Amino acid sequence: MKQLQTALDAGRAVRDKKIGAVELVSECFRSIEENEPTVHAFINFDKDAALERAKSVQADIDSGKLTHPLAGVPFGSKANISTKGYETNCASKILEGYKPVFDATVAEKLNGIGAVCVGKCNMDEFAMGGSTETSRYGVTRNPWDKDRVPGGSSGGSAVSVAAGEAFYALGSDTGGSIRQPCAFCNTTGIKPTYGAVSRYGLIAYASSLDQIGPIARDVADCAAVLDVISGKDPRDMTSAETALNLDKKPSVSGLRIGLPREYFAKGLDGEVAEKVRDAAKLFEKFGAEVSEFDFSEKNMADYTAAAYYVIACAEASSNLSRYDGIKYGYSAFSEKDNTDLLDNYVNSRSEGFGMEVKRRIMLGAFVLSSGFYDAYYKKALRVRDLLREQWAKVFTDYDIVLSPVAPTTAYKIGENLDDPLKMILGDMYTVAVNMAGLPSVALPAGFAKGLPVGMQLIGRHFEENVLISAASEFQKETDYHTQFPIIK
Amino acid sequence: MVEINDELIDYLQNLMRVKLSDAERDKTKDDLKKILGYVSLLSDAPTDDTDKFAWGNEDSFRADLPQVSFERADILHNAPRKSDEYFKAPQTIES
Repeated sequence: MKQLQTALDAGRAVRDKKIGAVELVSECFRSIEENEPTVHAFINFDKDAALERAKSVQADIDSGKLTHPLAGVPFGSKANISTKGYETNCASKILEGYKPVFDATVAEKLNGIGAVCVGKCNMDEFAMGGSTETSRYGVTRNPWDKDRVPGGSSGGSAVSVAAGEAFYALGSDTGGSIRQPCAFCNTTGIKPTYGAVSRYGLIAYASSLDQIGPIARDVADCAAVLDVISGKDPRDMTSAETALNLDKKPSVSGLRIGLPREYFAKGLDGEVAEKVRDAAKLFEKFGAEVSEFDFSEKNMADYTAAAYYVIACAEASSNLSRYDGIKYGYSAFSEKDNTDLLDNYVNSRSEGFGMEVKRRIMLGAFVLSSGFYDAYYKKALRVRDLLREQWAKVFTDYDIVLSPVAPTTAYKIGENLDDPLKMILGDMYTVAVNMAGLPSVALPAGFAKGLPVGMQLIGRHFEENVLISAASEFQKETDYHTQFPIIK
Repeated sequence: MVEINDELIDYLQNLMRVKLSDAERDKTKDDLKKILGYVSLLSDAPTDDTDKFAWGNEDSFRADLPQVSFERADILHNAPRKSDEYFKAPQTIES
């Protein structure tokens, strides 16, 4: 195991003139050159562009123009977040070569404080997956065990941080895609309240569920990044006016923390359960009141997972209609064959999309189609309302819900790829958070047989500060989050 | 339970403007059977019949005011086929 510097420590070193932004980028690229052949966290990176950017940022730091604690610190950006002039392909062939003509709001904000992007992190194609195995640009491997998945869909983002290739990264979370790779790779991540971070420039998977969030080496780094990227954005009408008040840090003592009994039932690995329960005991030592509870409806986890899948696929089928081989991206048009319009659509999409994407959009079309809409899509929306009521009740009795992130530690590459049900059930603990729009912080809770175990702290809407306080206390008392693998 | 047959796959392919290979079709049929078998448990969920579906009560539409968009060249920048002014698409009207 080894220790890696946090983003805030790196930023402090730059401000104290102990190191420059250019050296930080060079350090990241040394790790990239050493580790990428094994882990493949990035789809693309541009060392020269990153060094140029670092030089310009350093000049602005030296002149006093840039003073943010993260100025000059290199980060990785998931490949579904638009970066102007830089290929952003969602790990799909259908967007191969696509270079956005604008920056996502989050990219603009990070550029504004002097962050340096080192490259675009690998992901499951169009964020559809939980293992970063469906990318058309190769599989990302877990740095703790290269025969295992890093989780997904933000697997590349989590690995870039765990492998020392970036000090922090941006991921996106639709059904657990920040939190689950954090759990598998021993990083810390935040899935913000829906609306807290602008989705402008995030290439959409499921628009009512997607949120961009930070992945880093500790919760302080995550909080610092979240502070930059959050906020109302007139270009995203789902972004919220409500401020996050991240400077307010409530004490953990007196907080009521609940463990959902249903999540600790069958299907959860015993060692994962043990680590999460150990964490609960530590929160009790901090003065929190910890108890177990039942959702007032039985089988809520199953209903939620099923409803999530229906809603996400339905929204994806609509969002991915834009890929037509005409406006951007891959085109199967042939002058020789004089391809007609319909064949152009069909061939471009069939050749451009991978199998997982095709399966999900076809399922989405099914649940929205005449004769099935009421039984599937409308019913799923009603389950979503029921779920929101359930969580509202839970949060009258508790301030934080503590749960596992995934039922197991990282599994072997290829183990779950052919079984769609295993993928759905693997998301059991994470999707409820997206369905209800709640915030969640995922952080390391220990190790089981040498592999990281993650847990999540779920809170009320816009109470990220409560979760961050609790996570921060935990990370002061434990050192799980400081450990990173030596990659062989 | 709905029958997952070739007719349904053809219908969904048409809706989504994709065409699966023979091997992909067989796998998709199996996968859809499994997935739809699982999500059919939704019918047991104790929801009521009111259509709340509400996320919030705010009027979140922006004012209908003209705003700067992108330059034409930017919009055409990533098009696989284009002229100076337009996206190029296959002919749809017989000349």
